[in-house]
This record gives sequence, C-alpha cells and structure tokens, in this order.
Amino acid sequence: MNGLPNEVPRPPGELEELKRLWNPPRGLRFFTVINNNYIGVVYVGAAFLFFVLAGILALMMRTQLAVPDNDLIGPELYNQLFTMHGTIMMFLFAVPAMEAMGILLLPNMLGARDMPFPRLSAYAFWAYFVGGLVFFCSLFLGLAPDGGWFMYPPLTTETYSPGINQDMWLLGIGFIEISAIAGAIEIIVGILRTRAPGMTLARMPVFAWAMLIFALMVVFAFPAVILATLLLELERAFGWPFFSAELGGDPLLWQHLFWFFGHPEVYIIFLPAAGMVSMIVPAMAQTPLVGQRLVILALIAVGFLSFGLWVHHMFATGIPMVSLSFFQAASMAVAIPSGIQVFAWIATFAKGKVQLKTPALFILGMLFIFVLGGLTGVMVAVVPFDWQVHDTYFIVAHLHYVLVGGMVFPLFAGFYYWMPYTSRHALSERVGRWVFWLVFVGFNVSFFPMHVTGIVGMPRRVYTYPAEMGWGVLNMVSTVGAFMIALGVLLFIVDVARRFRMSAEDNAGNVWNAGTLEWLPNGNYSNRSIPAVDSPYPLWDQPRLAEQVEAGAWYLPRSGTGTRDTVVTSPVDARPQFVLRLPMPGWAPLVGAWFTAAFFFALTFKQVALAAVFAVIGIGALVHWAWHLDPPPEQAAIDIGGGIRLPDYMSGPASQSWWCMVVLMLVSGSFYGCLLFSYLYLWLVSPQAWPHAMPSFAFPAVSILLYVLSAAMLAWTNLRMRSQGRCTGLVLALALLVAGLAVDFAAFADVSPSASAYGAAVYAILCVGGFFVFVTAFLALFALARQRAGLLDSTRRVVFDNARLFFSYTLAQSAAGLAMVHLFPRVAA
Amino acid sequence: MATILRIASGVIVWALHFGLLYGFTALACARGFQHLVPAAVGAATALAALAAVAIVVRNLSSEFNRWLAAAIALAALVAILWEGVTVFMVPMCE
Repeated sequence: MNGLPNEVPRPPGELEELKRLWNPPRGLRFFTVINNNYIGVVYVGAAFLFFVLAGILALMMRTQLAVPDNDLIGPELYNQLFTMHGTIMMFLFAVPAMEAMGILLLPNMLGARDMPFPRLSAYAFWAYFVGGLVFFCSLFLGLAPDGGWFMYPPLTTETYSPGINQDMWLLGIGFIEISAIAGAIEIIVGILRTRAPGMTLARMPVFAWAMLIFALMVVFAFPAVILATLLLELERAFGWPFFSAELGGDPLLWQHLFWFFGHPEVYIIFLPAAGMVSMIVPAMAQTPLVGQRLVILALIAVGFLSFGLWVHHMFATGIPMVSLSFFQAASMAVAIPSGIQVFAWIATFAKGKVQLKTPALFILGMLFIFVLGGLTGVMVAVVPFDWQVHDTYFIVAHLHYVLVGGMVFPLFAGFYYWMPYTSRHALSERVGRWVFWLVFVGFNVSFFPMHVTGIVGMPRRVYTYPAEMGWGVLNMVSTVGAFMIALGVLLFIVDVARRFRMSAEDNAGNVWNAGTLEWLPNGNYSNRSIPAVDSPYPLWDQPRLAEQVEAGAWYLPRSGTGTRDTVVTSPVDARPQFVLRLPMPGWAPLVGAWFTAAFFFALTFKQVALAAVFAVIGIGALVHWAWHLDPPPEQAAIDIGGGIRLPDYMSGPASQSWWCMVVLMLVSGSFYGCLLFSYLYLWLVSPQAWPHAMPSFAFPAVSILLYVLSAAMLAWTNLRMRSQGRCTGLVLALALLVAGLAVDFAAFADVSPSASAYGAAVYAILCVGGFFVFVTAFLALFALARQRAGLLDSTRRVVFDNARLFFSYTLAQSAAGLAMVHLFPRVAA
Repeated sequence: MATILRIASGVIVWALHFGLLYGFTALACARGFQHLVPAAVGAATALAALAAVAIVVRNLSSEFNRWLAAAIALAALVAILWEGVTVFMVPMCE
C-alpha cells in the first residue's frame, strides 16, 4: 500500500480507541444516542410508523366509500380522517423520511464520521417523534384537526371552527416544521463541509446533490408555512384579522403562503427520491449514470422552478389571467427537467446489464406511475382543464400518482437497496417481489379508476354519495386496490421483522457491487480511515479502496483529538481544513426536544403557566447543550496522514458554525420576506384599511439613528474582540437595539392590531422584530456569560461570531421593517 | 462562497424576474394601470434574459463549476423567456 497517506499496519490500540469512542451508550442512556447510524435508523423507522398510521386512516376512508350511502363513519370523523391522512403523510412521513435517509446515509456516502451537528440530528428526531405522536393521538380524543390538510380559512378561523382542533394543527405542525428546518441546516452544512478529500462538487454522489437542493428548498419554503400558521393562530387567539375580509384581511393570503410552501413541498419530497433512484439505477445496471451532469442540472432546475408554481393550486380563485399564465408556463416548464431524469435512468438501464432485483422492480414501477402522474400534471397545468376537474377525484388520483410514484416507490427501492448497509441481512428477494407486485397492482387498481370517478363528477372530501350517482363500482374497485396495497405493506413489515438486525459493525455489506463510499466496510465510527476520492464511483475506479480504508491507510485512521472527530473540508474543492471535534452523547437534546414539544402542546390546550414552565426547562436544556460546545483549541497541527497537518479549531467563515449561522439567517430572511409580502398583499387587496395619517416621521428617524449607533457599537466590539478578546461592548449595542425597538412600538401605540388588517400587519412586523431582538439578546448575553467564565477570547471566539452574525442580521431586518411600516405607506400614498 | 454564488447566479436572476413579473402584474391589475404591463414585462424580460446570457457567456467552460453556472443560467434563460412571453398571449386582468 505504498503511496497512501498512512503506513500500515497501524499501531495497536488505534482501532480499539475508535470503537470505544463511537460505541453507543448502554442501558437507559441508550436514549441519548446521537450517532447517525442509530438516529438515522430510528428516524426512518418513525417515519415509516407514521406512513403505516396514515395508511390505516386511508383504509378507514376507503372502507367508508366502498359502497354508496354508507353510514359506517360519520362526517365529523371523516373530516378528521382525511385531514390527518394528508397532514401525516406530508408532514410526518414524506419530509421526515427523506431527512432521515439523508442523516442515515450521507456521512458514510461523503466519507465523514458523522453529521457535523449530531446533537441537532437527535434534537430534530425527538422533537418530530414526540410531537408527531401527540399530534396523532389527538384523533382518539376527537381533537384532531378537520379543516383539510391545507387548512383554508375562513373555514379554519375561530368563527367557523371553534375549539382547539385547528390549533392542534397550527401549533403542532408549525413546531414539527421547525424540527424539519433543524434537520435541513444539518444536511446543508454536512454536505458542504464534511466531504472526503478530493470529493469536489463534480464527484459528489447525486443523492448528496439531491439532498443539498432538498435542504435548501426546505430553508426557503418552510418558513412560509410557519408564518402562515403563526398568522392564523394570531387571528384565532387574539382576533388579528389577517384573513377576515370584513376587516381588510383576505383568505387568499393563506393560500399564497401555504402554497408557496406547499408546491415546492412536492418537489422537496421528490428530489431526494430522485437522488436515491440515481444511486440505485447505476448499481442495478453496473454502469455509471448516463448524463450525470445533466441529471444534476435537472435537479437544480426542478428545485428553483418549483418556486414558480404555487399559484397553480389557485387557478380557481379568480386571480387575473395574466398572472395565472406565468404559473401555467412555469408548471409546464418544470416537466422538462423532470423528464431529463427519467430519460437518464432509462438510458442507464439500457446501457448496463440490469440485475432485476427488488430495488430495480420498484424503480420500474416508479417510472410507470410517476410518468402517468406527470402527464396528468401537465393536464391540470392547463387552466381550463383544471377548472373542470378542480376538487374532484381526478386531482386525488393525480396527486397520489405523483407522490406515491415520485416518493413512496423510490423509498421502498431505497429500503431494499440500503438494507444490507444497515442490517446484518438483506431483505428477502422472494418476499420483496410479492411486496412489489401487491403494492404496484394494488396502487393502480386503487387510483387509476379515480381519474374516471373525478371526471364523472365525484368531488373529493365527501364522506358518502348517493347510489344514483353511479360511482359505486369505481369506488369499490378503488377500495379493493387499497387493501391490496395494505397487504403488500404488511408483508414488507413481516419481512423486516424477520430479516432486519441493525448493525453498523457487521452489516451484510456491498451485496450490489455498488460504487459509492457508503458501501465501504463500516463501523459506528463510519470508515476506519477517510479516503481521498477522484471519481463519482470510487469503489469501481479504485478497486483496492475498501481494503485500504479498512486497514487505516487513508486519512485520520484514529481519533486525532482523543474524542469523536471528523475532517472538515472546503465547500467546493473538498480540501482538508481542520479536524472537527464532535460532541458525545448527552441528555440535553432529548430533554430540550421533549420540553419544546410539551411547550407547544401546552399552548394548544391554552395552559399558559404550564407552557412557561416547559419553556424554561426546554431552554435550560438547550443552554446546557450550547454551553458545552465550542471546546478550546488544543492542537495546532494534527497529523491526518500524507503530510497533512490540521488544526482542531477554526473560527470565521472556515468554521462549520459560521455556515450553520448563515443558513439560519437564510431561514430567517425567508420568513421575514414572507411577512413583508403579507403586508404588501393586504395593502394591495384592502387599500381602504390603510390610514391616511401616519405616525410622525420623528419616530423612524430616532429608530434608525439608534439602529445605526447599535451597528457601529457592534463593529467596534468586533474590533475589540480581535485585539483584546473582550466583547463587553455588546451590552451597549444591545441596549441601543432594544431602544430602537421600543421606539418602533411607541410609534404605533394608537393603532390596534385587532381593528383592521393594517393594524394586524403592522403589529405582526413589530412583534416578529421583537422576537428577533429577544433571540439576539439571548445570544449576546450568552457570549457575555462565556466571556465572564473565561470561555471566550480572541481565538476561541465562535460564540461571539455567531452572536455578531445574528445581531447584524437583526439590525438589517429591523431597518427593512422600519422602511415597510413607515416609508412604504407614504410613498404608496 | 464566490463559486457557490456564481453557480446560483442564474437562479437569482430567474427569481428576481419571476417575482417582478408576478408582483407588478398583480399591482397593475389591482390599481388599474394594466396598460403598462406589456412594456414593463417586456423590459424586465429583456433585461433578465440579457443577464442570463451574460452569465452563460462568462462561464463557458468544461470545468464543472463553470459549466454548471452556465447551464443553470441557460435553464433560467429558457424559463424567463417562456414565462415572459405569456403576457403577450392572454387577456390582461380578466
């Protein structure tokens, strides 16, 4: 093994130390596990559990609809069933399943030991799992939401939906989306900063590309739905009329915000699935993916075009034809990059020698179903056709063909394909074929007739129908198909119970002769040594790579820092930059997640005092967690092999923490952008709600002066931090920021947020600004506390850098908000 | 970061153009100056298309990152023209 970075055989004790460090905790402490091999598997398992639960709800609905005039399930329960089915499938199954697959696969696929923020993965999992279970259990108490998975007002406002059913959706789903964003931040930083040396963007696996685009889409799309849920909850709880037309609000604002999230959501689900297919097809065909560059381009094109499609869910709302035409054009355009991927997969199958194993069967099934769904998608992108079939079973058929074809079939392909990576045994090939045919035939038997049911006029979301409508036979066929799918899924579960035995150390291995890094010999520590790669399929192009990696001949074949660690590389060229110390298991993420969930659910039940207690415990756990991050620099040069010596600490743009903060600012910017859009939208539709007399110009003049002084103070503090390692100036910068906010509120003291949409929009901007100031204050005080404890200086300054970045963002955002509430109405008038 | 921004530049041009198209036509239809829409959309589309072409030309290369920047800008150019042209084909504000 000459010419490799490290001499082999390696000194005794190295491997044992790696194993000891990466062993999962035992006993009750197993719940504190954070390693991606474990969190990834339980995350996938939890998502699958929600798939099964939502599937059971679907079976109940199909049983109810099997015959006309059925009174098995009443309308109230039926409304809850279809709302929960859609909500769980979209929010608790599809997106989390994709994030889970990312967390499970990405570190090994990229050549990292773990995700860069493993505790954040654990937090995201526990928040989602606990929140999701409580949300599901609301069905048993009759408290489940019943306004449809997209929760349109005015039906879901307090007037028409009293009680807490809709609050359960608004607070529960809003909270779970925060968990999804946490996962997305982790994935973006992981993909950009922890790739193996030499794994440039061109050599990055297509699945990693897909997950990167997926996570960026989550960052830009999910804040819209979080804002929408916040605004609707404010209207329900305090009467701020964002959606009440009589006070200048507009129900269509909800639809804009929801679908700005909701349509990209479809592609958020599809892209990772497409990424999986682009990994599985080459392995099944034993040849590289045809047109890999074009496939990457197609993923990106789908990603950005999908943000121009949201109004195609609103074709029937009376929006001007010229506006509809942009969205119609974009809806048609997105079919082209989707088609490129389909052709690339077919061409790869055609070029190679296909092993027609279960993963390949599911991909062929996916191609059939997804293409049909895509074709009906082009049909409903045509506005006049959409008007004909709007809210009928044709749409139910279309969306299931797209989602099941585009996501569920690839996911099952992924389960079969990657099972040997995470289990001692692959799943049974014989049972797998039964599963495939039952699910494939069952799906088409169930959903194909729905195209016809819809065209002959059956509306969606009706709990029954009269026999004389003639829809009975079609519905009975659909119900039979649904039970066939259920049988297939049941068989899959039995097979998993028989064959799945979780093991990173002793997995079944590379049974497909695949070419990417996740198929290297693994342990809980991922790979024994981190290879340098020079192609997208290193295992095919470097035939002895597995043996060399396992022997420890590549980079960092040991713990470089005496704790868990991995190599951080540059985002584009993947050049090694520093050794990142990773945290060990701890209770803080678990406690933080449980009590964050408890806080939101206590609020749902309007138990404010209890919610405050939970918030204190949750925040306490998060502070405890954060306090133990950012260990001090200890070694200036860790030898990872090949003459490369790396530091164990980095601040500024090179640090993983800086990237995390930048992505968080993108999330915040997207959220605030949607809020400003809401203000402008309400002004556009209800100019009569806007006052003629504005607050004195002295208010914004004083505010902006305070913000400028605060920014200057922050800049001065940064200089002082560099030279003397002191950040005490944050106190004054913070005081100026808070004073600016106080002046902002004082300017609108005479305006009531519940009197008109204008007041509601202004106070929403002010209150969101207040929340950001609160978080900024929290970060600044945290930095000051660490300085006082001697944990912050001019070198060990990541905590200060984070606070400064967020502080700068808050100042910019405050200025933008000021311009919107003071300047814009004057200019517009 | 510069490379990442370069790769994303086509997307940014498309997003600005699409946002402007939608925002301006909504405003024009709501406030009654729809007669300005064709000229405004035409100008915005021409400008955005020029920007996309400039990105393509500046990044013509087989090196992956440059190729990707150019290819994304090309995709954005097609989308910009395809979406922009619709304004001349349908009735305004009906």
